[in-house]
Amino acid sequence: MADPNIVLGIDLGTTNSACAVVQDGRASVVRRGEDRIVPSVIAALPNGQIAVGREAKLQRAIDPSQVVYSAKRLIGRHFSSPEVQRMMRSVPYRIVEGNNESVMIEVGARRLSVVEISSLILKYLRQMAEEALGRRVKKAVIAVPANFTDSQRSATRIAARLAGLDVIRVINEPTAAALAYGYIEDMDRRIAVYDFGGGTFDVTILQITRNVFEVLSTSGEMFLGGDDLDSVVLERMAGIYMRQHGIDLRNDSRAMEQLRAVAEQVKIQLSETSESSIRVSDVPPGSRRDLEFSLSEAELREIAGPIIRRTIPVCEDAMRVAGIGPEQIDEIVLVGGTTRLPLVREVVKQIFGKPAQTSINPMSVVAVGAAIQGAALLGSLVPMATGGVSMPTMAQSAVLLDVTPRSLGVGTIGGNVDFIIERNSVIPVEQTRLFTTTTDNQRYVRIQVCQGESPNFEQNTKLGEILLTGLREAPRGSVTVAVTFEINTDGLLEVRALDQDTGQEQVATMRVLGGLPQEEVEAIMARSQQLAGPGDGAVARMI
Amino acid sequence: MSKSGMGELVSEVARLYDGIDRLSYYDFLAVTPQTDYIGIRDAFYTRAQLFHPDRFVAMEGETVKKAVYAVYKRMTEAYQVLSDPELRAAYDRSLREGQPRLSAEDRSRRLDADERQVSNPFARIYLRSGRRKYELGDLNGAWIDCELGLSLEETPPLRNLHVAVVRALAGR
Repeated sequence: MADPNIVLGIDLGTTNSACAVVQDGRASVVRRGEDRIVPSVIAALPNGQIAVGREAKLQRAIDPSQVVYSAKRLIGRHFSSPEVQRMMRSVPYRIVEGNNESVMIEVGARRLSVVEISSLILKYLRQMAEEALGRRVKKAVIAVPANFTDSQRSATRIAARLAGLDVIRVINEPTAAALAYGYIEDMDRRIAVYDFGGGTFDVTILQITRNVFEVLSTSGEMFLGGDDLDSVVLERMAGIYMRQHGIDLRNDSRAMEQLRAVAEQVKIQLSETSESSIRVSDVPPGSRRDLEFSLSEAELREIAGPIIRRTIPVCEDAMRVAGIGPEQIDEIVLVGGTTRLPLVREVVKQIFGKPAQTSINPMSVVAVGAAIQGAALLGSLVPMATGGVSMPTMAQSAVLLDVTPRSLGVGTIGGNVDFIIERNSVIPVEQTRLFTTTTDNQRYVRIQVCQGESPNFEQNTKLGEILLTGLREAPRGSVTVAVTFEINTDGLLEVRALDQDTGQEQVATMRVLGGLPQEEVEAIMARSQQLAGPGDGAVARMI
Repeated sequence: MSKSGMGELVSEVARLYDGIDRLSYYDFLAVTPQTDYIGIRDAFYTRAQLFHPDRFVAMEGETVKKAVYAVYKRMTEAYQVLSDPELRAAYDRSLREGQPRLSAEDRSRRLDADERQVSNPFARIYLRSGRRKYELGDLNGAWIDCELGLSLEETPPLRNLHVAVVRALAGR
C-alpha cells in the first residue's frame, strides 16, 4: 500500500534527474548513498538487461551505440520534426521511425518508444525514493519546461503512468524553481529563472502577483549546455594527447567517450578549485598509453567563455519579449549544474546587474519545488517560520495559478492560423469558435491544431488534428461546426468538435502526432510488464 | 484553513454551481458592474485563492470536484471577459437582455495583428482601452492608457498610438 501522504517531486531533466519529498513540512532531496542526481541515461548491457542512471552512463565508454541519453529532447515529437532529425545526426544510438510518425529507439535487441525510455528513468527514481523512505510511493508532481507543448506534456504523463506513478500535477520547471525559494509567500515580484543544464539553456521571466505565476516570456537554446563545455575540454584533452603520443583520438569514439567522462569531472572540479590535474591511464582501453592533463580555472574561462556568453543574447531576448529591463527583475534563480561554474555566475550578474540566488543547490531546486507543490496540493504543508534553505515554507492556503505560455489555434485556408486561446490566458480556460464549410456538399472537416505565435501555420508547433465526418450535405457556408478548446488545470489541451447545425453531436477523436494513441499506450503497458518480468525487479537489480 | 472554513467554501461552491445558468460574471467574481478593471483583477486573484481546484484536490467526492472545476472555470471566463473593455461592453449589453453569460461566439473575439504584438495581457488591455478612448475623442484618457501600457511593455502598437494621441492633443 502506497503512502497517500507522500508526493514525489520529480525533475526529469535532459541530462540529469532528481526527486524530492516533503516530510513534516521539510523538503529534502532523495538520495541513494551519496547520489542525489541520476543521469537521465539508459543502456542495454551485453547480457540483455537494461541499466539506468550512473551505471548506464558508464556504458558510454564501452559501447556508445547502446546508451540512450537526452531522450527528453525527443519526447512528444514526431519523427520528421527538425529536432528529431538533428538528434539523429548527432547521437551514437539509433533513432528510427515507428507507427504514427512516432520516434523509436533501437537499443539492445529491443525497440523502445521515447515514452518507455523516460518511464525507465522515472521508475528508477520512484524505486530510489521508495528505498530511501522505506515505503511505497505512488503520487508525483512532475516538472516540465515552460515551453513544453501539450503533446510533450501528455507523453511525459504517460511515461509516469508506465513507471507506476500517479501524476497529480504537471508543473513548469521555472515555477517549481521559484517555489523552492518560497517566493509564493511574498509580495509581487518578477523573477528570472536562468536554467543552464547539461544539454539545454532556458531563461524564463516569471511575474508573481498574489500567487499567480505568469510566464512573461521564455526563451532558450535547444542545443546549448554543459555538454558543450565538456566538449571543449575534451577537444583540449585530445590536443594534449596528440602532443604526448602523436595519435589523433578524435575519430576513436570509445576513447573520446572515455575521456568525455573525465572532461566532465575536470569541469566540475574547476567549479570549486582553481586548478585540476589528472592522469588518465590506458587511453584508449587496452593501449596502455596514459594522458597527463591539467587545466586551470583561468584556462577553462578562456575556452568556455564564448559558449557561456551565448546565453547573454537569449536573456536579452527574453527580457525584450517580456517588455522589461534588467532593473525590473527582482530575483534571479539559478537552475542546472552548469550554473555552479563561477564564470556562469559572473555572466549572470553582468546580464541582470545583480547576483543570483544560490542558497539552494541548482541541481535539485526544481525537484524540491515540485515536491513543495505536491505537498501543497495534498494540504500537508504546515506553515512554519521562515528558516534555512532546506526548509522552504509556504502558507497552507497558497494556490498556484498558471497561465498558458503559448497561443493555441487552428489552421485555416491559405496556411494561416485562427487563434482560439491566446497566450497568457489563466487556466482552466475554454473557448469555442464556429467554423462553416467552405465547399458545397462538404461531408467532413479537418481541424488542425497548433501552438505558437506565428500567423503562419507551418511555423508553429503542430499538435494534432481532428476529423469530423458525417456532415449533412448542404451548400457551402450553411453547415456550422463548433470547435472548443479547453485547457485544464494541468495545462493539458482537449479539443472537441461539434456539428452544431444538425444539433447532432459527433464523436471526434484527437490524433496527437508523435504522441501515443490510447491503444498504443495499452500495448506498451502490456509489453513493459513482460519486459520487467517476474517481480518487476529486472531494472532495479541492475543498478 | 480550518475544517469549518472549508465547509463554508464548499457550500459557496454549491451555491455558485447551482446558479451557473443564472448568476452573472459579476456575481462569480463578487464585484459590482461599477468595479474598474484593476478591481476586477484583484477580485479574481482573491477568488482564485479560494476556489482554485487545487484547494480541493485532497477532498473526497467527484461531485464536489466537478462543481469546483465548473465554478472556477466560469471565474476565469468572467475575468477574461470583464478585463477586456470591448468584451465587457458586449457583456453588459447581453446582461441587460437577460443573458448572464456572454455567448461563445462573442467571447471568442479575435485579436488583431497589433494586439498580438503585445505580450503582457494588461498592456494589451491598455492598448484596447486607449484605442477606444482615442476613437471616442477622450484624448486625455487615451494618453493615460498609453502611458500605463508603455510602463508595462515598450511595444510598437502602444508607441504608435501614443504618438497619434500626442499629435491630436497638440492640434487641439
